Amino acid sequence: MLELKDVKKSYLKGSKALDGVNLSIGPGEIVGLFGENGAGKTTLMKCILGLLRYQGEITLDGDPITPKNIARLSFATCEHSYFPALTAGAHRDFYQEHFPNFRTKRFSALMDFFQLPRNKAIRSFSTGQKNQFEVILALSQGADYILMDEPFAGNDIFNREDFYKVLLGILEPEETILLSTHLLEEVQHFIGRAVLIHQGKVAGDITTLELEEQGRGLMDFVKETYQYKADRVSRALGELTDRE
Amino acid sequence: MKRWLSVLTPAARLSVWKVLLLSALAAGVQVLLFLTIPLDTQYDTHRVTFSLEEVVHQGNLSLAFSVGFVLVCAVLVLPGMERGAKTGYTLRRLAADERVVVLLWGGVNALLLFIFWGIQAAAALALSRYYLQIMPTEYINQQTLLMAFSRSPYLHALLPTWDWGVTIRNLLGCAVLGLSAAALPFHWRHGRKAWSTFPLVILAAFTFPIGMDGSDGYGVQLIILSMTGVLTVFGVWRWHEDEE
Repeated sequence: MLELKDVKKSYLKGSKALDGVNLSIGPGEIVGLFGENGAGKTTLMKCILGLLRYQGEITLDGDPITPKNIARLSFATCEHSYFPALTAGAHRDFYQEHFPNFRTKRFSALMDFFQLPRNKAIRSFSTGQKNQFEVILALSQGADYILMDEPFAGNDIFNREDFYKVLLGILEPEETILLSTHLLEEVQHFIGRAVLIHQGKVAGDITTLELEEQGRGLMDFVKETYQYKADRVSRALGELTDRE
Repeated sequence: MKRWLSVLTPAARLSVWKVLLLSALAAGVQVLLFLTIPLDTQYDTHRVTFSLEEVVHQGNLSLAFSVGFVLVCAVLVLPGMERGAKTGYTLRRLAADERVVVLLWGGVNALLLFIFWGIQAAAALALSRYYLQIMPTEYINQQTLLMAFSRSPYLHALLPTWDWGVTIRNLLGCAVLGLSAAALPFHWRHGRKAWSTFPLVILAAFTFPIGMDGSDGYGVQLIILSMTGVLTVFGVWRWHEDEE
């Protein structure tokens, strides 16, 4: 169980990125993390991974996250965290050495599925291939909790669809995914739970089963939570047109 | 142990062949410069023969060394820089302490600088041997080589032999610059701007030629290098967390 208790994060400039986040994510869950730009999604993930200092408590099965248990978390980010000059094969060797539970078979299968070259430096990959490789590393690390921050930015729709299907097919019951993305409609059938972040706080937390029972879609839930005003565009356009 | 060594793989794969190439290039330029200098000249009715140290001085061989040295240091800094990917995210998720990784990279860098120094010294010895072979026997004796490596500040710095002070300065220089080249990208990865490596490299590269009497600020160089070394280690050990 990954637990966050009253997690707060302020940057030196004074802005509050996280303002008392409480969240529990159990084994086997596939959680979508949604929110507007600057809501605090990336900061939340970085705090979980220990990449940023924070106030509050983040524990993994009751223990704080330290170098001893950090291998239980993996991270795929749109910023990319691989070594650009190394080949895929060199990454495999490196990860095998540092992550005892590295899933070599899964790594090979995913490399084959996406037809990524093993002997070319990653920096020579296309943007889509780089994203694929970043996610392959995160999925193959052997982590219990896989954190993904906008991993498919730059990939085409077919590519993303393929990935969702592959992901659902390969995940083992105890593997947990925390996926931050703006592609709500695309992932709504893939996730089991949606967490909405707004201004550094958890603004909504609901399972897709609950949504189904209520007869609501994920987008409806998000719009309600954010009190989205559907007529704001037409009103804005109207005002603009009047002015002109 | 294997795990620690594998941490060095990303940096080693990027820097070793580049350092060897630059070492060979710097040595090659020195050979070219040496060959362009006439070994004797006609002055009125006299034929004046240049000593080995005069040829080395007139050929500006130390300049080729200095430029090569600066380029090697640049090559050593580059692997740790986050170009095209946030490799720091991966480095900070390893069980190996990132600070120890930086110190290990510093050790590899020091070794590579030591190799650069060795190749330049070997080139200087080869050129000296060539000089002894082509010069008429009346202009050379058993002391020629010894005298040249004592009188020429550049040759003396390359092969200080019994001058332990200069040997210590060179070894300390390799160690401190190697460490500094590893620490600079470490600080940058953590969002801190550290610039001290740049003036240190320039200073080290262009004050490398040093006379036997140590009049070229040998003591000052030792003090600067020692203080920089201590401050670099302290900086890495103390400031290992993000500051934002």
